[in-house]
Amino acid sequence: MIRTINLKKLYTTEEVETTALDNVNIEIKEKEFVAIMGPSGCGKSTLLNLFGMLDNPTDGEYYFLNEEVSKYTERQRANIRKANIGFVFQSFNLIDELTVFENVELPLLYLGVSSSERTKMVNEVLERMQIMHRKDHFPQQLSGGQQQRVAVSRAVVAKPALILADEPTGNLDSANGEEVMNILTQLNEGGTTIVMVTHSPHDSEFAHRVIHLFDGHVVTENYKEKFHV
Amino acid sequence: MISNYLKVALRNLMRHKTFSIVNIAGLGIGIAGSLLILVYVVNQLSYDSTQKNRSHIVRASVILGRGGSSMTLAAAMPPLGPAAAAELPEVKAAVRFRVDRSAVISAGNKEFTESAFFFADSNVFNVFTFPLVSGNRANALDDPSSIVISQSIAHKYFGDTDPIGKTLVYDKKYDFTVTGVMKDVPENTMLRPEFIASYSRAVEVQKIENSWGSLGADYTYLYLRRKASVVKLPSELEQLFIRNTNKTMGSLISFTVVPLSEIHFRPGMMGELGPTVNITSMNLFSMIAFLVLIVACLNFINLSTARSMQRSKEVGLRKVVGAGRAGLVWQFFGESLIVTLLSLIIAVVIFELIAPSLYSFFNAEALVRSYLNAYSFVALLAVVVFVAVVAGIYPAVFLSRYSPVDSLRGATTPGSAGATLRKVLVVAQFAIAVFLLISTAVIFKQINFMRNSDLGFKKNGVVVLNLPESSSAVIDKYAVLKQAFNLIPGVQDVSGAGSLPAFSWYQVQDVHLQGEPETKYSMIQTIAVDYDYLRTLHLELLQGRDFSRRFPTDSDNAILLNQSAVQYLELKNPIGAEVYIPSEVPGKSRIMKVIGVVKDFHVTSFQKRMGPLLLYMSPANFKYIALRIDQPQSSRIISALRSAWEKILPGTSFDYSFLSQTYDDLYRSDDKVGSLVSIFASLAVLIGCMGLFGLVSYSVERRTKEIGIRKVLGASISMIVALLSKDFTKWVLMANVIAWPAAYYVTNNWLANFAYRTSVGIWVFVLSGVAALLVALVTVGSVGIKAATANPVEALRYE
Repeated sequence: MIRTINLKKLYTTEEVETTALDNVNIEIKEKEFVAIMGPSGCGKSTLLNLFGMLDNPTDGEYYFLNEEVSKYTERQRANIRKANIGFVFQSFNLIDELTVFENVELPLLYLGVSSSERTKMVNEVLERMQIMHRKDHFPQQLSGGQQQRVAVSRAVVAKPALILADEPTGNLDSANGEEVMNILTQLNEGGTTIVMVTHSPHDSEFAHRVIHLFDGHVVTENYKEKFHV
Repeated sequence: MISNYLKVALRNLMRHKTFSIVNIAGLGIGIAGSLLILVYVVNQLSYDSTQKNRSHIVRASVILGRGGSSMTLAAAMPPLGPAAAAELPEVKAAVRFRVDRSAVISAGNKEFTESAFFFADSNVFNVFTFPLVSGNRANALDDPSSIVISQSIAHKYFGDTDPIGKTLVYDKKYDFTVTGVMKDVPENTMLRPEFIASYSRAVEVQKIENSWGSLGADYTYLYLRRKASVVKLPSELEQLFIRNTNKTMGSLISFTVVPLSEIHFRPGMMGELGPTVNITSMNLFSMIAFLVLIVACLNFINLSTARSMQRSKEVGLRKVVGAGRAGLVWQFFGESLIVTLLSLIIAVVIFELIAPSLYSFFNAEALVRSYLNAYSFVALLAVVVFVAVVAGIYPAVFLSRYSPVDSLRGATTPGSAGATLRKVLVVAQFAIAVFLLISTAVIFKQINFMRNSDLGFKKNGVVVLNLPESSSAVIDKYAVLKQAFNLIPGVQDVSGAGSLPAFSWYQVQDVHLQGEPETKYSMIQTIAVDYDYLRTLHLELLQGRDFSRRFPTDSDNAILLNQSAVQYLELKNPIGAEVYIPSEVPGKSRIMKVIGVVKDFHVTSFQKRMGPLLLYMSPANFKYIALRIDQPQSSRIISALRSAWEKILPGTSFDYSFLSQTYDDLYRSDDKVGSLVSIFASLAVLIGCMGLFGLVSYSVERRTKEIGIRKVLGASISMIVALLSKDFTKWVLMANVIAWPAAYYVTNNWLANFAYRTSVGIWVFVLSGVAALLVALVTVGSVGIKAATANPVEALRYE
């Protein structure tokens, strides 16, 4: 699903050039659940952004579904992204002015799904995430765990092949965090590929494979027994 | 999708109420203000647009005299039109109008005094667009006793019966037969006849002398061939005039032609047929409308971009879930449109509230009655499109630019480019505000100057009675009237007058000094006066003496000159000088002796120089009686005057006015310009401050952490407020630097309209600048103090 060859990302400000990622070669297969770990500033989030095509690499190749996308324009990237990738963030990133239902509906709007189909899909996912009773509330009216469940609902509503999660439990207490991890596991068992950035060794236990980053380099990759290609 | 955009937009507006109110109200006020002016300007520019041949019609007008003392009459002499049509190749036809502003018209037992009784050449309906609803356009005026009337006049005299063939009596003795009924002429027209009678009859009725020397009552319109050039027309008319008179006359008179569509914008012609406006004022108004709108738009852009940081997360998120840049541009552009439409509602409400009084203030009666017409709709549409594009595009492009990674990380500095732009916008807003403030100050300074300057006469306490026209019986009774008035307690002085300051009646004489060759003519304005004219008006005699009953020959051959006339005639020793007057004044000698010199006084407004003036005694030419009275008793005195009048001149109307009012009317249009500019200057400042308020609030929000740290480190409240005010002060000062030269240029241009004008002092600029700065500082301070007094712990918790 994902393959990178010598991926490199530099951040340049007026005076300093920071290498966020250097020579990263990673392959992620379909239906895998991968955790990316490493200390702050090691390039985890940068890598996730590149995976999600929110950003272009400075150098190297990036194959998404066997398509080299590293030189794609913003519009091309947006088109691939909206059809294939769902995002879950540490800080939920729900739009305050939209209700739970409307937040979850958003990706479908950009995909051009018809109104009746949208209602059906959104209701289905809200039901599955057990947040249906809150569908007309605004994000500020929900607890953190509920907000993250809405965010996960939004990530999966369009049935993407890949979910990218950036510290999905970082802002949650352990009970809520556990719940979110269970949801992600269920999704993975349903066939969705998941790439998750995390600080938490506990959370990484849920993954099949853990990639360790340090100063922009891949240090180790540990396979778990659970997953066999 | 659209409903999603709409929901987000409306919920955003609801959530940030202060911001929304400031933004919508600012824009609404701006739109209303500019719309009010624009509708007025468009209405003015539409003058005479109903005349289909307007681009081929010009009016020929006479210029009397040369150089400094020349004056332009709206009208020309009777033979000019026919001669031009016959002899000049580019003139296809000529139409002359003669106007009776106080025609007594009767039909059966109905009698009214009419102010729009026109005589016109019979081809008038071929040249001018006065559509007939009944009667034949081609021959309606062929019969000398025929008359065409407007629909409302037809109704007024004949009710619902068919007026064709009915008789109207003019001046109680001349019968006219109605041969046509025309549609009422729209109000935005300079030529607004309600009656059009045959010009050939006017020769009899108005005793027109068909001579080249009979000046000033025949409005002569020339209908030109397609592609005819008007450039050579004035000199050709001059040649025509010389061919029919002589070189000497030709040296005194020249011509000007004004296209029909421009007549409304040429003030200053004597005896003009309709209201004129100053094109400088129109330009000034349009500019103000534009500036106010710009200020409001800048405000909008400013506030929208300033708030963009709060929206950046949404932008990032929408991009993550698949929004393209174009979609986001449309979303934010749509939001601008929504705000514009909401502002529009406010604007229309303000407009509805203000339009009637504003337009009656401007004497735009047509607009008072129906300001919601096609023109105002066009104006409205133009404003909305302008605002939506100018105010909407930038924030849309600006906001949609955020990269999703940055905006989700919260790393979006709201664009250093945006910050620079906002500074530029605030500077521009304040520059406009200061510019308008200076303009206001200069205009009021000029108005004050005109009000407080020595006019050369005392305008207060003078009552003016109109003598009925064309009635020798009245002139015969003048002496009786004067005697009766003098007996009324409280009446100090009484004098007949051919004209008075601010009254538009004029008479011009060509004169030359006795002993000089006849070719050396000079044109001088003359006023027929009586013994007590100087005393009544409190005119100042500089040399010699006033007219006196002790010198019986005074009434026959004595004249007074004003200072300008003495200079103009180059008289070294004016007293006793003899002036030859070739034109005929009934019962007068042609050689007049100068007995005194009067100090120059303002006969017209300050826009015109005080020209040479000659006063002579001639009751036959009196049109008014001026009386100086005890002001506190004016109402009692006027009723006494009325009863005396009614005894001596039964059956004539007693019309009186106060000289001071008539004179003040000369400034009315300037007053209006002043009021308008001041209103809109305040509006611009208000909107500017609303913007500043929004910006400062935003800037305080952005610097909450900095303010917290500074306070923890020991900064005082005043230091914090100073810190916040520093930038804004700099910007307002910068705005002054831009506004001053522009204001200097524009106000000087405006002042150039006045022959007598105030100086534009530096303090006007300084005070305007300081005023803007103070308002800005109060605005900044009010927000700043709140931020500075907040608990620093709260501020730092934001991290």
